[in-house]
Amino acid sequence: MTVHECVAEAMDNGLGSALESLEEKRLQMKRGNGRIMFGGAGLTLLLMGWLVSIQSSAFGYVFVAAVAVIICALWIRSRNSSMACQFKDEAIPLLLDAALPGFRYRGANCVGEDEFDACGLFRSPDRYNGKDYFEGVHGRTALHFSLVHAEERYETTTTETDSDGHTTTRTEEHWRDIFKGLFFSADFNKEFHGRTLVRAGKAGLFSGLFGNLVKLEDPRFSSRFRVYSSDQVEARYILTPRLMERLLELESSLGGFEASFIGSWVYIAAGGFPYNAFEPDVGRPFTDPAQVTKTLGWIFHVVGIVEELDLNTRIWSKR
Amino acid sequence: MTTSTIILVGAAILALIIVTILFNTMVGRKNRVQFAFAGMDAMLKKRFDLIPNLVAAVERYMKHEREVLLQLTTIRSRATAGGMEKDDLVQLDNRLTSTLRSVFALAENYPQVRASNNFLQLQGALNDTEEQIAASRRAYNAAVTDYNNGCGMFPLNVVATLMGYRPMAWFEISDVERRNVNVRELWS
Repeated sequence: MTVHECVAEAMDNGLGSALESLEEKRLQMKRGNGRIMFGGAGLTLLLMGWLVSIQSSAFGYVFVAAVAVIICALWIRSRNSSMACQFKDEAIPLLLDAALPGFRYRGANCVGEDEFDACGLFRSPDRYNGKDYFEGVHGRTALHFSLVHAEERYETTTTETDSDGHTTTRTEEHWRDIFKGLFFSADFNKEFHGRTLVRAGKAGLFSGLFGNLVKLEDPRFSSRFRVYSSDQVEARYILTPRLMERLLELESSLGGFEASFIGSWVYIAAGGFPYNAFEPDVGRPFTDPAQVTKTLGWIFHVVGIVEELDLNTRIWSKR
Repeated sequence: MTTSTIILVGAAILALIIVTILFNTMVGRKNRVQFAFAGMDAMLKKRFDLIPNLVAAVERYMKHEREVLLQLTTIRSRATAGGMEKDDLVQLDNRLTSTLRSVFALAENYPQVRASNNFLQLQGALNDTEEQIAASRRAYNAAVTDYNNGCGMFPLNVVATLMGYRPMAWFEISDVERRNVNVRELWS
């Protein structure tokens, strides 16, 4: 079934009324946001009036206005975000019932940190979170995926010496992304016991120093990826010429990814995947079919990895 | 010790280190070729070992295909007799691949065979082994390429010549295997 057919079926099976009720709530929220802005502006004017009475400097006015804008923006953003979550929690399960029966969605969950660590593609993160967890069986392939944001902490130290010769050392904590995007895991159609990593970027002169590099025959694949494996034969057993072609096609559809093959599962980390892919636009009516069509389009795009990698072909000993 | 002696001794040690590295690199590459070949040999043996089970699973139903099954058994007997050269083994493996494909294609005409769990498991295992053999061949060819590069590129080629190493041949699939299997053509 196409995305549009699935949306039409879901609309008939309760999604239509759910969207109408959600739209009602969205309009209420929008009115509430208007009141917040109006109230914020009124309060700011009152405070400014008071500032005039005490003959405050220009800084006072700027400060009051800036604080008011920030508070209102954060408040509205939090309300919008909560509305988007409500939309996803109510609409996505109904979409899945029509399009991918048996699939489950948990908006606040994500792929476990243990699994993220075990995939062998990234350093262990210091801060880990995510959203939009989906799981199910597509054809004969069990899979799950979610959006993941993994970060690591680092510190910078600055030393300053003042005119009196006093030295002050200041340490600041910063965060940088290890990975932000789609993390997809699926049961691979072949049994294997080793560990094979497909890294983005061609192998350089010193790539062999970072692991057991596998030199594959496909020049196009080798110009896009470098492969490390604990077993040279197993790496080739997994990465057949056909799968290499499929991975190249997947790269163009996902916009860049890295993959690992461990314990008969394939893990795909697509950093180029939009982090707001499953979010509705709260500025537009929820009853607009384009909203759910877009969400389901992304879900199909991810679940379609199973077909792109031909994981439902189970002609080997693993069934 | 004079400065010139120190330089001479240093240069000699450096030269010795370089020669050792080059020597070890070539030995390592040759060993990798042998290791890859041994891996492929093990996979071929694994596949030959599955043949009696396959024949036992299907012969009861595929009575009209006795000739094909006999062919399978003959290929296996020849392979397990040992004493075969690399090229003969490859040729035999190619014949086995074609014959197996024919058996699987013919099995499509026998619903009882297709319904048998034992047959399906064996078919999966044989497909698996075939993929592993293909992977082993590719690993072998990669190891041979590395080794042959050493035999042809300076400075490793100097060491390779001194050690009497000669370039090796890749495993290439036969023309028969390149073509799709035509059961009618093979068994009519």
